[in-house]
Amino acid sequence: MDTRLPFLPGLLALVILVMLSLLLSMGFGTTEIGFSQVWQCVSAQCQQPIYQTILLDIRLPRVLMGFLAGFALAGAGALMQNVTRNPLADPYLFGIVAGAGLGATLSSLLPEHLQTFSLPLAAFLGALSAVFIVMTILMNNNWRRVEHLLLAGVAVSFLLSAITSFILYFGEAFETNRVIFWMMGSLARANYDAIALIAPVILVCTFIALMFSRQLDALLLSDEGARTLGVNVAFVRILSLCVCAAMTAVVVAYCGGIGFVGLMIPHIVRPFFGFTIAKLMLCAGLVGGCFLIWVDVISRTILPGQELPIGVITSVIGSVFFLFLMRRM
Amino acid sequence: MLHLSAENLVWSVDDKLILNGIDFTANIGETVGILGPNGAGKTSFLKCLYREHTPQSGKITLSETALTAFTRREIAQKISVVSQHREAVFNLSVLDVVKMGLIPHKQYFDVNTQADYALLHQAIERVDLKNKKHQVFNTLSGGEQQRCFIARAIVQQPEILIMDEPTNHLDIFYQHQILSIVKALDLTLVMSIHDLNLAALFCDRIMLMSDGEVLAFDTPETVLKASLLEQVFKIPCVVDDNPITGKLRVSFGEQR
Repeated sequence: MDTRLPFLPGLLALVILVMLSLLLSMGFGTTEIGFSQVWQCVSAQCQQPIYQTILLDIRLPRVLMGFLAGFALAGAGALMQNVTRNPLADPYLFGIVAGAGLGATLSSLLPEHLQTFSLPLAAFLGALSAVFIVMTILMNNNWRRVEHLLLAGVAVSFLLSAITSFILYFGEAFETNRVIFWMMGSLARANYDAIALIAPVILVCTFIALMFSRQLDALLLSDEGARTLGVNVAFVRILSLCVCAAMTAVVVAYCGGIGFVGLMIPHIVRPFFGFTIAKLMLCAGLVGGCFLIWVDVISRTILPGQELPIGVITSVIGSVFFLFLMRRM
Repeated sequence: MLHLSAENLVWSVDDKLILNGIDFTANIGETVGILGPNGAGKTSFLKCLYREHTPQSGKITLSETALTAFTRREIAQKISVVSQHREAVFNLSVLDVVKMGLIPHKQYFDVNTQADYALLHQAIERVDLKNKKHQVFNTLSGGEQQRCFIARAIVQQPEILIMDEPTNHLDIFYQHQILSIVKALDLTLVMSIHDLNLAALFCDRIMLMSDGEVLAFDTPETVLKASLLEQVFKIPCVVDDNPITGKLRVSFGEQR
């Protein structure tokens, strides 16, 4: 059965869905605010100054961050799965989260007054280092095959996680807790400065992926097939890896480990928008953004008076989805 | 006129010689069949021709220019390949696969024009897959998948088409259908093929290989000799005329 939707109307529908999600989700939280109030605050002036603070200073950056994180993770997941021709690939495959985790852990060893700023930075550097290690291993061994890429990524990921566990085991309890909570993922750290940093990275990365969309599509059949179509396979694959790494690293640095979004959203989107990367990445990005906005709503409303880490919820939903996917494969 | 040629080609893997001094020519518009037993080096030789393998020595020329002087993209604009690969991990549609043929002719951010779509549909129609263009590639039969790749090759608008065992696993109807379609494209066609009777019927010249060397390279009438075929395939052989096509007919087997 052909379930594919026409691209442009479908894309437009997703954009409208994202807009609505952004607006509606701002009403949820410890203080419930009606849609009319939200609309008034966003479009004109808040009736009460407290709403101004809650909606524009706290919730708006948070939902925007949720959207950006979801867009980046799902888009990077789609790219990673297509480029490796592996339906189980996701942006965390190359040790990005493990690297970020190690970076965050190392930052916890720093003096306290430096830690607020250093955690995202250390996580970002850790994530990039992980990708750098994977790439160096691949290049030094002249490993070109997809399997090598995946295995090297998994191996580096385990190694970095082991070092993190080692440091945390001997670490000070408070700092260890802080790092562990960060690794579970949260949008609580969202602010406009972070958004100003993340948004351009995601925009540029998406632009690069779209620029190479034909070459990326050629990889869907086989490496040799892509080469016979004139594609420089090694270059396109490494470029895609860098794009995924950058998109994921900026998100992980601010939001911690949010698992499964990159894995499952592309699978949900493919039956409706096809497999070619331009359509898939844009649509998976929008659906991923929308998904994370609402998961964050659940995370901040499900338990009265406290937040559940967002990574826990995405992992629960993701694991069930994963099993469902395996049944269909 | 010479279109694609190889001179004294040598290719080895880990000191194992796979191709040993191959000389090859294909003229414009000619259909050349590469024959030989399993492990003769047919596929390796074809891979050298489309630069998937880099030979240790020897020279390949495309329209009188060394193949190494072309970029991959330039080669893809001139040579199209239908290999034996038959699997897609994701559920690509026929149209998705055929559309890939446009890649060598497109720059970054180029959109598909009306002319591109006309070419796509014309190619799909030519291989008789019009009713299946939205069908998932993996659900097609072997013959349909092969036709899908041929449609992609048509969209690629090459001068030369290289095919690796295009009739493998196909029934007799599809074998003839596939070869008739590619023959009608009026391209220079180089293909490895196992069926000697199909080679006799469709090829202008035949290169017979064994153990990485060329044993004979000439017209089917000259190459398909019983004594030579018995030596290569190590099974008794009779060559006579096919009463239907008038071309050579090769029969193998022991008398019972």
